Amino acid sequence: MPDHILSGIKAIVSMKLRRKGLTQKEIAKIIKSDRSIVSHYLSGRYPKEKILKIAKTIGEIPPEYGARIIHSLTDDKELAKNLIKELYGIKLSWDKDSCIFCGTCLMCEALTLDYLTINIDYNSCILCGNCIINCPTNSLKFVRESYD
Amino acid sequence: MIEQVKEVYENGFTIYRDGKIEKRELFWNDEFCVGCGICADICPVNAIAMGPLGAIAKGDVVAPKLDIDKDTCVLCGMCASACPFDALDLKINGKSIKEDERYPKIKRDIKIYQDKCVLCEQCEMVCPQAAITVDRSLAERSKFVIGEVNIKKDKCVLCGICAEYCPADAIDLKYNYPTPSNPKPITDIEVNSDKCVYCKVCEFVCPHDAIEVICYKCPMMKRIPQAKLYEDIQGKTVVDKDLCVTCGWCAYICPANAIEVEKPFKGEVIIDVDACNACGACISICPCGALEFPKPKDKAEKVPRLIVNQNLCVLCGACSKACPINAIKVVRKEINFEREPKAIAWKKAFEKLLQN
Repeated sequence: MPDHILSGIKAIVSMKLRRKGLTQKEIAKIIKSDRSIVSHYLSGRYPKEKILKIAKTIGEIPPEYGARIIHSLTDDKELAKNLIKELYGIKLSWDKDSCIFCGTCLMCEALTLDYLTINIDYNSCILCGNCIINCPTNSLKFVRESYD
Repeated sequence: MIEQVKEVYENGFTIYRDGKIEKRELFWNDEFCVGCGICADICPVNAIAMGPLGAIAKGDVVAPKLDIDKDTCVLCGMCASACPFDALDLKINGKSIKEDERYPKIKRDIKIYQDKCVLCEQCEMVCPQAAITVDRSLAERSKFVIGEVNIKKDKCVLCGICAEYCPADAIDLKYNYPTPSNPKPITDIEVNSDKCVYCKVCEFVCPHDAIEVICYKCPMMKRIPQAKLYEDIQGKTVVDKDLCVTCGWCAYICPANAIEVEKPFKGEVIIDVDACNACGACISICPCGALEFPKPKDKAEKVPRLIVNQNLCVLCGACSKACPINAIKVVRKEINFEREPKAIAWKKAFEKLLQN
């Protein structure tokens, strides 16, 4: 069942990327699947309508919750990151005004504290959302990539 | 969430978390805690719960003055930074944030100007925390009081009248339990030269003309020095800064302006005298002893139920937290910062202390 839902999410992401103008080869690389499977996803032959419905719902819930569900579907953190990034079009953002510098988020290696700044290393951030859940002041959030 | 560990001791507790990059440890010491609740007011995650302060202060209950929920606490250190009494401390990788320039600190200090101090010892008498002591040593009395006393043993009947009159208690009679072999109840008389001031009262009152006192003070006036501070009278005034709560009582009563106290807040305490039911919780918890139930001087004189001396108060708010009916309001208008908070969220948190 988790694999089916993962396929559903991959299918939705594939369609999104296709609309952006990416080739099937490029899409296959991002979602870590064979090109033939991408072709199935894009033609709507696979997965079933029921699965796509669940995947669509995951795409509609707030990304900090959706991200956790997607991470729970696969152990491949890079894949999960790619799917979350494309499904929601988000990145992690830090609010300097509300942060109390408690250091709770520093458990993640993507985040470092430099006096009064939390630096986010977007390469190592896997969009798992753990820092968001643990932040006591809601100073970490997922925002739309175009937010800046 | 990274696991946070709490270790509880007799006089406090530690909460710590061991991260990859940093280790944070929060310390709380019940001995230094006055129960003011500033930590609970400033905590951004409401992790601090105050104990039954009134009952603890009055000795009705034995319980810690506060408790911190280890799973709610995020070890941000705001409580430690705001605690005016150093009962809380946060260490990041072993370094206290009280010593870290980047963290705010509330100023609170006491200074003794020994050169101005007259060694009167009154500060020691009023300090509510027994934090100040004056070690004073005086030159021998014999330096200023000179003379001689001669008791003519052949005339003295050992009646003890001189001893009863002596204002300095300087005459000692040697008492004896009378026995057949030693039947006299008093065997001898002696003058204690450390106590005698050669006032001549014994000479005047002796009905047997057995005492002769010669006072050298007037004829030898020039040989007697005028006592000088820090020469004939040596001493030092010492403050235990760990115990001092900077209530300012010592500075307020010092006759020589030799003590300077810097208090953490400016503002005032407002008492709703009509609401007060005189339970005494505030008086018991106040670390400064600044509150009092005034006693009427005359019968039927009307006095307010409770009064505060604002000069002796540090505006910590312990009274207000301990009051069961909210009859005391502590209004802080200004925080005396040694280092101001720089981060916006910290600034806002410290402003909460002003909106009491």
